[in-house]
Amino acid sequence: MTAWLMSFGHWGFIVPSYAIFLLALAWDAGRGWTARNAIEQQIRAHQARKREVE
Amino acid sequence: MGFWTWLNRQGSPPRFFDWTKHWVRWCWYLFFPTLLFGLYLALLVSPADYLQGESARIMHVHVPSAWMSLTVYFIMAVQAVGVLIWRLKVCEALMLAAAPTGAMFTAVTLLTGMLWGRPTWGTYWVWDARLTSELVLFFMYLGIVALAQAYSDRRAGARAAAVLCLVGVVQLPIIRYSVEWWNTLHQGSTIRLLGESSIHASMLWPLLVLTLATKLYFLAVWLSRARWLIVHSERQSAWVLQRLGLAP
Amino acid sequence: MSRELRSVTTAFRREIKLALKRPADIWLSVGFAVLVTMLFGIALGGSPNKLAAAGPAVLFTTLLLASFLAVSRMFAEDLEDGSLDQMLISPSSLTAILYGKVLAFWCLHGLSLVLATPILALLLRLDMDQLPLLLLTCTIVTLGLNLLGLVGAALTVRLRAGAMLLALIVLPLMVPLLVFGLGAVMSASQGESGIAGLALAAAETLLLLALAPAAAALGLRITSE
Repeated sequence: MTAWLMSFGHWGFIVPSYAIFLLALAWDAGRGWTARNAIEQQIRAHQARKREVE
Repeated sequence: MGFWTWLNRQGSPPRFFDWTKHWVRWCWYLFFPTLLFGLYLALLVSPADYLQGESARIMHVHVPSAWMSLTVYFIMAVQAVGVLIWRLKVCEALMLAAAPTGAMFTAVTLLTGMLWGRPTWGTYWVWDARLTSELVLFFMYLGIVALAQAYSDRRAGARAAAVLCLVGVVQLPIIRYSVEWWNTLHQGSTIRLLGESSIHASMLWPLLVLTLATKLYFLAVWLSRARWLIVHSERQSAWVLQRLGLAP
Repeated sequence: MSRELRSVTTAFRREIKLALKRPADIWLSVGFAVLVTMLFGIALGGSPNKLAAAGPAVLFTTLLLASFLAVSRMFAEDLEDGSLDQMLISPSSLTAILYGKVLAFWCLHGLSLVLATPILALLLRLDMDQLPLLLLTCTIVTLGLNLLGLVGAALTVRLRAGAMLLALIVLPLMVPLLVFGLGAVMSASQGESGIAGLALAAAETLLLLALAPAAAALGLRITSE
């Protein structure tokens, strides 16, 4: 695979580097977003159940 | 109402939840144009380095990530003080919310460092001072997260993680120094990925802009994570239900 | 002040007495170190060049791992027989008690490894002229390692995750001691004085001596909340 990357000259390493950077940022932000949704869902579900019981 | 009472009120969970909402939004609004401008400068405008060629462009993502990986750890250490001395819930949330992003930046530093090393030095991994310290730092982040999660009592877990973070922050400069010292013993001079040559102005701008971009990103993600951590830990309380529109 | 000192010596004496009832623990640490060294010796094929190059590194890493193993059981007995809770409610300062405990622990598990170092040096065919420096370095380094281990053990005492979590927490922090110790020995073997590495290791250990027991005391209180 290194040979394939080197066939693009230095850009074979620059592009993956920038891609890793951007994808990592997106992934971390995405994880935060899904965690937020999960928390909100959990609370709403809990409240809905409580209201049913009452 | 005295100043300290006012300050304490500002740091209370519902207040924190309220004012961070605007901060998060504005940080995202500012982040995207900054990022795009930085990428434009880094990839298209700045010239190729006369020694390293095009691959020096990797520096513009590697160095900001490295800086963030350290900055985030120090931010966590500051929060750790608040956790241990005053047992502030907001500090607990801020400390734990920073860890995943800090670990991410550390991983990016390592990976981009490896991709920079291959065309520059011919090998993916070198035990140079920066990569070695970043690798150790990565494990320190993992340790803090693992320790906090190992406790069944969340608040005790946060306090334990705070102790570890503070021990780590004292050790961190020593670790970084020791690795550099070790390198000089072996190589007779410090090898840096960045090289001794000073950075030309045209190469400085992309670096600074992308650094700013990472800081904006961190603020957005960090504050957002922290406020939802607080919501989760206070999910039974009235202010949470009210903010979510579930108040009876 | 003298009351603190008495707590330290009481805790110290208690640790030693308890440990002497079970000398096997001490022998286990030493035995582990010798075994690991043996494995490295075999793996390196006994070639004198490879041994000369890798010897000091193998020695220090082995010491690190052996002392880590001992540290993972530092509070195990105290937890079982309830003396951990006794420590927490004792009127004496917990920090003072931990000073006594860690110093005793070092005498039992650290110094025993130092005493085993000549055997390890022999197996790794290290330069025996360097032995005094090596022993001095190991004495300082093992104290530092045990102090770091004290903090890690205190933070993970009642957790089920146990030794692997302890490793994750504590091993990264042990890098400076490893490097300074190795640096001292390797400079010496190259003809320079090993004083720089020795001084750095001593400085780190002194810092830990000042801070670790207090941090560990805080950690113990947190785990028992």
